[in-house]
This record gives sequence, C-alpha cells and structure tokens, in this order.
Amino acid sequence: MSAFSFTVGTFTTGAGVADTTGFGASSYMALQGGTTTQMSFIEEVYLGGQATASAPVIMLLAHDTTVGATPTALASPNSNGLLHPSGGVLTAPAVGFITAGTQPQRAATVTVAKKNFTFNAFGGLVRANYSNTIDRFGILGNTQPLGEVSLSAFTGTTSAALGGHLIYETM
Amino acid sequence: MKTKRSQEAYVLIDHRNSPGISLEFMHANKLDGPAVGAGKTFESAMAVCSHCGGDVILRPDRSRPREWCWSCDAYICDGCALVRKLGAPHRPLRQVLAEAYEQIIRKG
Repeated sequence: MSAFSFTVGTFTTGAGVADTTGFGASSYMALQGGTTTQMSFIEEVYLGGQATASAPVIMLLAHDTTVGATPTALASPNSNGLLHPSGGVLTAPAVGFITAGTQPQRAATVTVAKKNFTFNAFGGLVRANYSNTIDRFGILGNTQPLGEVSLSAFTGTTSAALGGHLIYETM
Repeated sequence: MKTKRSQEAYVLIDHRNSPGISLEFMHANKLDGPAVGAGKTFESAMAVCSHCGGDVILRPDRSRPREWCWSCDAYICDGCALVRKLGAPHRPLRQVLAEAYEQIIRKG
C-alpha cells in the first residue's frame, strides 16, 4: 500500500459538460486503474484557482461510465508518482491523464456518489482530505463503472485555469 | 476502539482573496454545498456516507438529528437516509465494492 500523487500544474476547465458527455481535451483530471483488479482510494483532492477574473467553477469528482481510451502520457509539469521515495513501486500503477484518444464521460448514475467542489477560481482554493475515513472514493479495476474517476467541470462553470492534485492510495 | 471523530474527513474552501461564490449562484445551479462568499473561509469536518460514499458536512449549526446507520455504525447522508426509510435493502458502499471485486475475480 503506497500513496501516490497525481498533479496537474494548469488545466482549463472549459464551460463544463453534463454527465455522459465527452470532456474537452485537457479540461479535466482522470485517474484510471492500472489493472483489471487493482483497487485505489482517493485520499485528498486539492484545486487552486488560477483565473484572472471572477470565475465560479463547479468541479465534480465522479466515476466515469465511458473510460478514457488510449490516454495520452502526462507531460511536465504534470506528474503521477509515489509521494514517498521509499514507497512500494507498482509494475502497473494507476494511470493519470488529462486527455485521451477517446475522452471519458462522467457517470449519470444517481446511486453512485459524486463529490462537488464549487469555488471561485479567481483567488479561491478548495482542499478535501479523506485519509481518516473508511468509505473513501474508490477505483476498482480499469473499466466502467468503477475503474476510473475524473475531476471535471459541470455545466454552469465559468471557464477558468486551475491547478490541482489527487492523492490516492493503491492497495 | 475508534471514536467517531477519528474517522472524520476535512474540507477547506478558502475565498479570503477571492470574490467567492454567491448563494444565488448555488441556487441557480441547484447546488447544495456551502456558498462561501467574498473574503470568507469555510473549514469543516466531514463524514463520508457509508451507503453512497458522498460527503456529509458536519455543520455545527445543524439542528435536525444527523442520520446514522446502526448496521454500518457510521454516518449516512440525508438522501440515503430517505431511501432507507422508503424501505430499500441495506447495501453499504463496501458491499457494493466487494461484490464488484468478486465479479471481476470470477470473470478472470
């Protein structure tokens, strides 16, 4: 069990999309399981606003019912790696990406939780830490409906630049 | 034995240097989270609903009783409490994950 951090320096949310609609390229953060049986849990979500004018954003952490196909490898300054240098190295870690050959689509299932992070990206930030909780947001396998989570803008968002990270633990 | 408080999550929304979010914006977009205005900071403990995994913000000013599942021995959100009152079977999140895991393993 090791903790990893998927960090994106800057991405632009766009105006947001409804559920089951493909995200725009580089407008989201998505984390897909590394194998068909791998289980990971989200420990922390952080988003910091980088907008230059008032921009309310509605960011949803949700499972995807269309998972990203052929994810594009992250480029610097974005990263996805162990938090601690002596953490256990995985042969197939979870895959963090911000764009893919086929873009992911957020689940519309009403019985599966989403987490809503609404804040103003002009000088605002949001941080939620779930380390001590038992029923954390999980990623199971690498296919829908539980194999991928995304952090993306919902309809009603004013497009803004954000930076953020997802800290997660792979079992 | 763990206390309830030892299993809390934490949320911070910092608008000290920001125009913040208005109540009107929250209502217009049918959002039910905290509307943190200009110059304000919202910091709170949270529980995670053991039935759906959603956040339960533990507001100190809540006057209604908070929903609790005696089977899970954990907090649940108002939505899941309503579903329970309507007679839905008890199916916590950890059971959903365990069943999904079992299914994946059986598929090979």
